[in-house]
Amino acid sequence: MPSPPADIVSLRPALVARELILTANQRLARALEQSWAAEQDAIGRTAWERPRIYALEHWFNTQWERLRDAAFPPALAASPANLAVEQRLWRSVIARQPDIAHEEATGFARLALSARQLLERWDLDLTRIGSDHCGSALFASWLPLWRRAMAARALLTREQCLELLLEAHDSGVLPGAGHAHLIGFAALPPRYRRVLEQLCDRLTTHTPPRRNSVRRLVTPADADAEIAAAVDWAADYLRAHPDRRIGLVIPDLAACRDRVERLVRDALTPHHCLPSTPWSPAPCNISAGQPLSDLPLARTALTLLGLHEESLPSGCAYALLHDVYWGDPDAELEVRSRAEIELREGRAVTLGASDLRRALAHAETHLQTPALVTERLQEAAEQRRRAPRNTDFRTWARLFESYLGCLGWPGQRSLDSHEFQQRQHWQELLEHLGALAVTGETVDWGEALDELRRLAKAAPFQSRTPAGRLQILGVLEAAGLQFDALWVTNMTDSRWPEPLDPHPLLPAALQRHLAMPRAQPEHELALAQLRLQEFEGAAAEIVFSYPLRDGEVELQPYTGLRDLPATPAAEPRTHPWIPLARNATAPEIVAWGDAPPCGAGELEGGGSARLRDQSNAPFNAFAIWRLGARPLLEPEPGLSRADRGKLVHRALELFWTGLANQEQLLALDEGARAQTLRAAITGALDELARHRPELHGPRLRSVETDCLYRLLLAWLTIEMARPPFAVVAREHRVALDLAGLPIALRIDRIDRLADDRVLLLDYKTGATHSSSWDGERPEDPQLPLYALAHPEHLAGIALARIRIDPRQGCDLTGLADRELLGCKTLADAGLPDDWAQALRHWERTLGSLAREFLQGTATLCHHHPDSATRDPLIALNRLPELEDIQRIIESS
Amino acid sequence: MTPDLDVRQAALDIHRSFSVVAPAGSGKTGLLTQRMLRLLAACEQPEEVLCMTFTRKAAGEMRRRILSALQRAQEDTPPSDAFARQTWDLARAAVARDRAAGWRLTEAVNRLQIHTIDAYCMQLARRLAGEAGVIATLTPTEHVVPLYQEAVRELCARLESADATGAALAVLLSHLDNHWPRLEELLIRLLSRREQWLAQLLASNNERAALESAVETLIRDTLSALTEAFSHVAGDLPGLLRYVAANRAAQGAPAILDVAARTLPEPNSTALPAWKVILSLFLAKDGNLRSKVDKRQGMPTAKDSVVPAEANHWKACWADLREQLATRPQWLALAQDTLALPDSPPSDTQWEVLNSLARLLPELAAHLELVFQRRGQCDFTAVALAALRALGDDEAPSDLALRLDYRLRHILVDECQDTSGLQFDLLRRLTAGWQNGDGRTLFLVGDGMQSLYGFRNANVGLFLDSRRHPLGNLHLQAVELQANFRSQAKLIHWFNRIFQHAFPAREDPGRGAVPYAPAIAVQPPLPEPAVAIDVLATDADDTHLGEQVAACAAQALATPGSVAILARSRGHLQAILPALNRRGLPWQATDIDRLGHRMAVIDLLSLTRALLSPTDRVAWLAVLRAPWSGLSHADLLALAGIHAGDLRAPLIPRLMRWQDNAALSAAGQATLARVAPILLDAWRARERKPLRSHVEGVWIALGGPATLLDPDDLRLCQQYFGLLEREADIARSDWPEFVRRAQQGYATPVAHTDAQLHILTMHKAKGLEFDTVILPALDRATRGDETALLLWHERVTAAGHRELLISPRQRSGDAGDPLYEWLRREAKLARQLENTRTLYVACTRAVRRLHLVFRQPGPKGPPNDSLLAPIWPALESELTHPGADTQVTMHSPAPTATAAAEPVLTHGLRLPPDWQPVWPARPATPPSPTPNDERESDGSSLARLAGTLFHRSVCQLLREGPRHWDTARIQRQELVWTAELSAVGFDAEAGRAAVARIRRGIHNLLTDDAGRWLLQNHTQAGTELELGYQDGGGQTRTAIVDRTFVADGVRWIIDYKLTEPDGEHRSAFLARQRERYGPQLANYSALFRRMGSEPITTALYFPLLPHLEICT
Ligand code: SF4
Repeated sequence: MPSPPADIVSLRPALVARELILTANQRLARALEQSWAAEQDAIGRTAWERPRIYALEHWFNTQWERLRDAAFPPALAASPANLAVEQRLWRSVIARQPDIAHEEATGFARLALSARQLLERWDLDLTRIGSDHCGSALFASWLPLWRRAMAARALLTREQCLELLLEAHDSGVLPGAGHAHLIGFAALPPRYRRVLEQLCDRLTTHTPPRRNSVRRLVTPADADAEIAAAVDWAADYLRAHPDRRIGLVIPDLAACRDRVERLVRDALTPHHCLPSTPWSPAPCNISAGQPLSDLPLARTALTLLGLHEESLPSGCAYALLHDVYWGDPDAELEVRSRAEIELREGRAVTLGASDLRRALAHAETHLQTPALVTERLQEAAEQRRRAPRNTDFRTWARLFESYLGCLGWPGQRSLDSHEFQQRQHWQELLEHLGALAVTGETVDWGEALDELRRLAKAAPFQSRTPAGRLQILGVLEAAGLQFDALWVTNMTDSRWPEPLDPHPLLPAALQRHLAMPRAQPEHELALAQLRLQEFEGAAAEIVFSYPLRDGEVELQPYTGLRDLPATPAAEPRTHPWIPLARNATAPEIVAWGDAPPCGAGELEGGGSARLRDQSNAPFNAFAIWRLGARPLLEPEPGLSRADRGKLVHRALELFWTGLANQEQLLALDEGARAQTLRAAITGALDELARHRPELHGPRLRSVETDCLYRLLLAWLTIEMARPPFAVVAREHRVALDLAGLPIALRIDRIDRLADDRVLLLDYKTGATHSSSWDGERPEDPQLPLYALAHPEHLAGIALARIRIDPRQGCDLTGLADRELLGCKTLADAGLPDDWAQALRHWERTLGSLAREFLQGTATLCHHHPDSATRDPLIALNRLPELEDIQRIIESS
Repeated sequence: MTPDLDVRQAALDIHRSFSVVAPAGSGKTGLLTQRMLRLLAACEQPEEVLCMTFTRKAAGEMRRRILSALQRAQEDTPPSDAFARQTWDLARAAVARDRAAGWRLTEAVNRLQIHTIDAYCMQLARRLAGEAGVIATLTPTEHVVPLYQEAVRELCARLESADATGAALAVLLSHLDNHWPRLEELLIRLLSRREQWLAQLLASNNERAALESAVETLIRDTLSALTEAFSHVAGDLPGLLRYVAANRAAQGAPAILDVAARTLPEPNSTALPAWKVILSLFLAKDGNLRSKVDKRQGMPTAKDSVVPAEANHWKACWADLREQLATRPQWLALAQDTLALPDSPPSDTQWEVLNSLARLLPELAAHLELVFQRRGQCDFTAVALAALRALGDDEAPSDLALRLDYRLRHILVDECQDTSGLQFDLLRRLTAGWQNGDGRTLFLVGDGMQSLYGFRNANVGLFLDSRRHPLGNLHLQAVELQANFRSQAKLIHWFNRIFQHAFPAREDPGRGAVPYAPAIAVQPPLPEPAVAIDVLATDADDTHLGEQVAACAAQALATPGSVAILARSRGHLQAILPALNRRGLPWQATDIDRLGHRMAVIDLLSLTRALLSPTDRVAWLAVLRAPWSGLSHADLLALAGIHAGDLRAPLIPRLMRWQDNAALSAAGQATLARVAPILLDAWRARERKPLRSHVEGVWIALGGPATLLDPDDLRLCQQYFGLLEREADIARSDWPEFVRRAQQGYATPVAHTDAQLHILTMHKAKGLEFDTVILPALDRATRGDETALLLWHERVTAAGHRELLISPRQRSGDAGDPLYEWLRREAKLARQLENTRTLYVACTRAVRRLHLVFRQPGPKGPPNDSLLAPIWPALESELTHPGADTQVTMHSPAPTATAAAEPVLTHGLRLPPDWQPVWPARPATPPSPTPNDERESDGSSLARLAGTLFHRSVCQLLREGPRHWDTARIQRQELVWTAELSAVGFDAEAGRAAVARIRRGIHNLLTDDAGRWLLQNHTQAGTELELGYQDGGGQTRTAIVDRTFVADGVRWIIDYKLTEPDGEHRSAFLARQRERYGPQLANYSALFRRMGSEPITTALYFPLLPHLEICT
């Protein structure tokens, strides 16, 4: 038989007499009710008139409603403002102050609101605040303005409503409350006490019972281990005692609630995380909620609502594309994916609604699917456009709902019960937003959305859980409750008593004097002791714990616990099935061998990169070119390297379209050269700007023009110093067949030299490329492929390194059969020293690489250390593991 | 007698302020504890005494010490040890004070004001939000780079704006060759140090003048010191200079030297050229002393000279001076500094860049503030700046006391050498108005030799300066501790011998240079040699180094006592950890090995990514290849290759159709039969569970735990899941950043907590001690950034001010700017100084024995940037002539490793395709209630509200009695309804229909027969009656019955429904309502039956119709 959730011994006469019982919180009220129910049940009564047990705040509300219903004129003249309304008014008052930075208004509003609460609950007026303290001076200057704002809207604070209760009581509208009993209050603010004293004939305060509990002190290594230890203990306890109730008190519960819930699920319902298990309520009751804004449905809704306000960081935009809570994500999977790839190619750091729409439209056209997504987005954009500039919150609440409807929120997938609850909460949230209409403000979409975000952050979401045998509570929520066993965490001397933290907008001395919260050391100490007593009376078995360290800091237990012998905590457990799985089977070693030979469809449209990859890392070549394992492109701020490389290529192409040979270049005077170059650059930029709207900006354009100009001028200086040449081809396309592997090439430029032979040029704009072309596996076979593709009258092959990073500069490097500016001779490069033989050499080496590729050779290694350091495919080729495998093979 | 006793006693004088130098092992925490106890015994409130430390760890340690002293003082027997006895006495006094004042410090430990500077700033900013702003309501975070980046991107987005911001951005971008990542990097770095330039920028509206004056001060300070250094040499230097001037004039050289000067030139920039000429008499171009002079320096030989005697005379004079100068290292260093001084102003392009920065930076800082507010997070700098703002400029101290509600009277600062300029400002403002002898004291403790946090803006120059100049009006008495209580005497002697030369000869707050202060040994010498030096062959590789270090460790562990391997950086440990493992030496370490390097973690990253992004084919392929699936090359190709569709399309649809894929092998099919359903289930259920559980569940279901090779892997995976749990949002929205965090995270060590061997970085070792300390790889150089885009230096001037020197790098290819070159030289010197200090800290951790391991440097000595470099001159001779307390082992080149076995290049791991999970089947849980997907049919919130108001009004009506509810009364009640509706944002307009509805309801109720009957004064009547009961599941529930009474021996139970048919036939409507509310009514009647009631009739009353629908 579990112990009742609250001790009602001292209250029993009051309960029998149906006297009013007021508790510190709803949880305690409920616990008392349950305890009463259990007693009734025990004596065989199955239904009864509910006892008059209320949480204090709730009871005040019911009294207020009575005043209203009685049409008590003062209560009709004004309405209570909820905290969100009050805070908005504070914000608008504070934001109008000249000395407050706009972005701080929200923070100050929050502070002002809590200062106002203290002020009224402690029955203070402005004169007590004084203005010698800067914070209180500010507060004192805002308060009258805010009061005026409240009055203008006929609004009251909840504390002011209490005064009206008294008034009504005096005038006989509100009957007295008889004998009332207070339970669970560590301290009652003066106004509450005064009001209660007048409304009730008699007040009795009940303190929790004392009992001799068995106490222990456990010392886990750190805060994480502490929570794990507490949960493990709870799980063991519940298993051992199937009919008992226990509690965990975790002071910073809000910060770790998700982790706690997960640990409890792992321990009590380990199957919860399996993909085939549907969501179910947690097997415990956690007093802290999650902010609604952290839950997926609301998160998506908020993102969608902000889509037209400002552009999203690209990572968020990609996530939104795949978000399951709008549209029909399964049917649209391929469209959305394709759009993502297109957006990634643009490398933009942020993306707006129109970017998404464009990419999705392209994807739908490309995949020849009906333009459903695009239509949805268009409709939403249209709604956004038609929305009034400024209007009241009620209207926004309605508009937001229909906007989300357009986008197909919350998606085609049917909602599970957790999602269903989230959706209900979302509806309530919109109600709250609408209720802000009381402020009479009209705001724009963005402001309304900001407010919605704030509300969503402040709205704790609690999914419905059946009352279980495990309760997880914060310190305050634990007040007055009873358990069979209780574990209280974080009992360090830095938290017990709480460090002082007086309110910054009220004079500290005043707060200390009146023992306001966290303002007086003696009061905090007494409070700590009281709480400890409460815990000790709350269960027969109590475990206290505190983490031994917080990072590098060693912690100490609360003084009152120092005498308890401390036991270290057991190692935290993992998910219980992990050890099961680990012990069952070991992985086996398999030889993957080679991939199947290339099939017919797999050869089209490849360039030199296939051979390069085959040469460097054969498996990677297979993965990239045949499995499509290409890493996704990530955004780059400004113009991407790839774009800037394209600009260099294109500008040079245009430049040499205008000029035929070096002679013409040399004939230009400085001015004409500059002009021609600039014209080429402009041409290249114009073309790129068609795909990159950011290039329409004049500043970016002019900066890029200048940079390109400097860079290309430096390169042209090198060109001018070369022996005479004529440009015979630019971006020349050739096809090559190497041992059956078709290779499409584009030679950036072909120059004819004075002896009528040709130099094949490749522009390189990236970081240093120092390649070797000899050996069996040349690192970058591009130039040799040029040579093979264009063997006629070959004088040389060269890289024109026009590196965008100016620290690296420009130069020309390559291979030639005799002296040629910047080029090595074939012999120096370790190759046969005439072209015919060199070509034969490459035909052999590159041919064998081509054959490797065709046959599917997929060795797991890097033939060049350089490519190993920046291997983007280690997740797939699993090279980091090879050493381990080697060791296993050797040891067996 | 113990050394330092007098000094320590003096430092306990609580009426005087001190700046105490406390070198390694000098027992400074003991001193701080004692002083704090004495202060507590003498103060009004414990909050008057503030002790600030540099690390949280130190704060915790101080707290612990004070607390245990207070606890020990409760016992009446004094300890026997003299020091402990004194502490006990002081603590007794403090306890007596505590009792008298009723503080109960041992319980209210938080009243002890012992904080890190950051935490104290936070406290100040929180309490003084009125002045500081609301920054303190934000959460300070270590992960600041994303916040900086956000601010930077917002600023950069303004490039195209027509204002000066856009123009300034364009200037910078053009200077950086339109390289945006570099611009971002620069601006981010500037933001992370904004306290150094922000105040300056905001204070001066003329950056050019400020910078020029800073350069001028620099020149003056250096030249003044040089003049001073010259004043110690005897000889006719002015005469020599006149002679040289005359000769130069005769040669037609520019007239830089004054031919008639009687003194040295003025110490200012105008005279700088003259100074450089003078120095060229003694120094050659390379900065070393000249061995001879000739006419190029204005000193012709007797042969060339018209007056040979004169030439000889001055030559002798020069030689004499040179001899003297040669013995003065201080002079030499200054002369070298002087030659490096910038002698021309920045170029115009430099200015353009600086001006653009000056324009952008305040704006950037403002963007950052916005980002902070938006994200609810901030950096510690923001908190410190806010605290500073809160303290105000020239705040009267009494005012502060008032605002804080306690008077700050005594401040103690630990590790003062590591405070930054910003933190020093804070100290200055906290003590503004303090006077010597007014009962308030400042107590700084630090050690210039142990300053290690230059990279975190620590400026050791400030501590040095506190010993020369007053802080505000407060003169601090400079005091030095010399005793070393930690290390055995032989070690102390070795330190004194070696470090004497490693530290600079002259103190220079400007660059934070401190000379070495010899220590006095307290501990007796131990028999065996104190220092062991292992010199490896020059070409020894990492493996060899690791082996040697492991051998040293093994040897040290053979005797009892703790052993530590202290490395300068984590990278230096890479070779050592495996060697230790090979020898089976257990070790404990924190923050040493990275998380993301093991395949097990990489697999989890792939799995997470795949579940988040269907587009990421690499991730999906990796998941299919990972050991839990282990598809072969051919099967991967069958599934993902071009034959199955576009090479860029997502793989999920193909996975869904795997059964139709004829190309799959039998093994592949077996695998997919197991794996595909798991992955697809997971994909379909995405976002339904928290990301961590989602991924972990898939991992477990796939058999991930069974694929781990190393027991340590499980620990890493757990840690990865921890990261995923904390950073799920980042994983979702910024995958590259998440990967970065996963890769940079440190693996928490296995808990060999009792291992005697500790491994840590030298920085982390600060404040700790070990019996044996092993320092590996001292010859390794670390890379410095000599080509930063912008260099700046916060310099403490001779007068004790802080000034900022700043210069951007020239555009590539342009010649170096003199100021930039100067800054580069300073940066390099600063790094070398810090190297010396780092080594000093590392060595002085040793109690009994120190072990150095390094490779024999080449003929040119160790690399400049290695830790070995500063001590090399002193150590080199020691290697050939080891002293009695040193033991040197020279190792011969390592034998080449035996050829490794042929590597496997085609192997992988996988679970057997038919692998099956081993856990119990899922217990049948009651299916969670299927959600009711249609919206609640009582419609909008407005309708719901109307219903509630109707109910409430009926209650009121019954309270007052129906006969009082005439039209006037109903009208009055309308006010209630409008008020309630408007309180939730429905104005009169919006609420009109609802009000009309309620009015109609009330009216009908009062006029309709059935309605009137309901309201009659029946027996046993109840309205809104609350009934408690327990449901089948044992849950306590409440049923609220709108109206109940007994009439004619029948118990009536009635619910009101303020609804009406909406275009529906009345009978259909009523049927629907009955169906809907029937169960509820049945429940009510069951409850009454249980309470033993009369026969029961239930009914629904529809006041809008009006109609009473009898249900049973
Ligand atoms: S992950 Fe590392 S780099 Fe990024 S913000 Fe955090 S600490 Fe800085």
